[in-house]
Amino acid sequence: MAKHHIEAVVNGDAVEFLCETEETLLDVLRDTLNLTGSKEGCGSGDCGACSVTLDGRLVCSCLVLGCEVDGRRIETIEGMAKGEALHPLQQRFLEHAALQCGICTPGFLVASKALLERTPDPSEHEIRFWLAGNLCRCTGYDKIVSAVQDAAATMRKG
Amino acid sequence: MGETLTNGHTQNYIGTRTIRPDGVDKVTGRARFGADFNLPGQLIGRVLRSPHPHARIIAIDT
Amino acid sequence: MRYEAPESVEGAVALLSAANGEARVLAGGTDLLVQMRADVVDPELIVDIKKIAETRAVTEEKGGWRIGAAVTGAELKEHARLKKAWPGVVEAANLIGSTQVQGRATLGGNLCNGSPAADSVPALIAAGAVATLAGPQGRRDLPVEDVMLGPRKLALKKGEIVVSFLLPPRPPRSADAYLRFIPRTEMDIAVVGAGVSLTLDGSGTISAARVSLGAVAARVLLVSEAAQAIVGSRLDAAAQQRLEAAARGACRPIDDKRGTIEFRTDVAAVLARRTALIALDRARTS
Repeated sequence: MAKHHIEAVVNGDAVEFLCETEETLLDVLRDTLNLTGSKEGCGSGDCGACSVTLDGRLVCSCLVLGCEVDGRRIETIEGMAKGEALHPLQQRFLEHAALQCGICTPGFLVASKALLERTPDPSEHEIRFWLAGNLCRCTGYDKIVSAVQDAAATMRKG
Repeated sequence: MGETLTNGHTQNYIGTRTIRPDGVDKVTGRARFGADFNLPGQLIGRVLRSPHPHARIIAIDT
Repeated sequence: MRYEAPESVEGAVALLSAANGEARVLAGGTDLLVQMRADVVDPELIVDIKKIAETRAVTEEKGGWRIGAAVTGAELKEHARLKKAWPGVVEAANLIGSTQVQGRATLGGNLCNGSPAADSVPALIAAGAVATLAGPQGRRDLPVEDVMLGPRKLALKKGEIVVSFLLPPRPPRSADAYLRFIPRTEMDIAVVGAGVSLTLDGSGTISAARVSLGAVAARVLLVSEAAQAIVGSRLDAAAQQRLEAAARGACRPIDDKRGTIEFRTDVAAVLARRTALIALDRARTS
């Protein structure tokens, strides 16, 4: 079949691309749009390294087809900082050493941002359960949770 | 910044919390891992796993 | 591989009926894409039903709730009135996978994926949900317990899709609940799932109940003996024991990597009891 012609908004920018039916949104982001911040950790929706938001909804981009996002709004890790100004979550992740190899980090940041947008004052329990779909092999998660709590407090102060 | 040791010397880095030098690139998604490179003419390797969980290798066809 | 996104039920049915090779419905994609990736399925045609308004709507109907087959778990969780009426159905849908998966996974997909371990199915069955199917011969209704016949085996005919689910009106002092056992805290496939829905009369006695067990047989079970064990009681110790025995008796599980027959049977009994107690507590305070 001929490729699909898709128009979408990625991190506020209008984009246009062609994709095959079987290409996932993750494939499109990484290989076509050169937005390699979202990572492929498993390809099966288990690790969360490919997390993006689709019309504001946190999803695994490896579980969305490229041709499903026509007319939709996508936010990736690349859209989190405003130029050189880091988002409070990004800043706190650095300060709390909530990353080592960094491959899970974009997914955790996107997922955490989605949490704090809905729940500005989450409990530790809520943070851990919301982030259960993001796996990290390096940090042991504790520093990630601390960073999220700290960022939440910062963001609540406005 | 830093600790003053019992021998009077000061340490500028030990005892401080430093931001890892590759941290900003990692939290912004700018850091490029091996799999993030997409170069023209590149070869892509895949792992071929044995379909047999327990078997003796008789030969490997390269 | 063709991808079509029809905007009407008739359009979807026509595409699926006319398909010669392997055709698959795409709702949330949280099972389909994984299976495509693992080369378990290689469809020639993918029919995305999410542009069909009926499959995406949550509406009140005849005192009950009609939930479109392609409404996501996350959307169900955000629907305050539905969550109040059917906390068990909503919590079951929100145990599937992770937050990311719940952002896409749907009740229709969870049912039609055909896994007896599906989390939302015991809750839907306990609720007395009826699936509305649409096919080349028109529409028909099937109780959810009659849709999944076995692993990957559905009662759907060629060209048929699940359009929506109808949850019945809720009498006062009614509530439902869902519990599952998994080895970790999140993300796993249910080793046992239990859904209970019950109604209390004015004196606090259970006047009606439905009990459903998942992952303990080739299909998700509606265990009428378990319901009978507790109707007419206030879920006192004796009723709980009868409930456990009935749950135990209904189990026909297999030994697999997630659990042995013995383990699943034991856990099914415990979960049936705990789920019933939660439903009872919710009904009392409703």
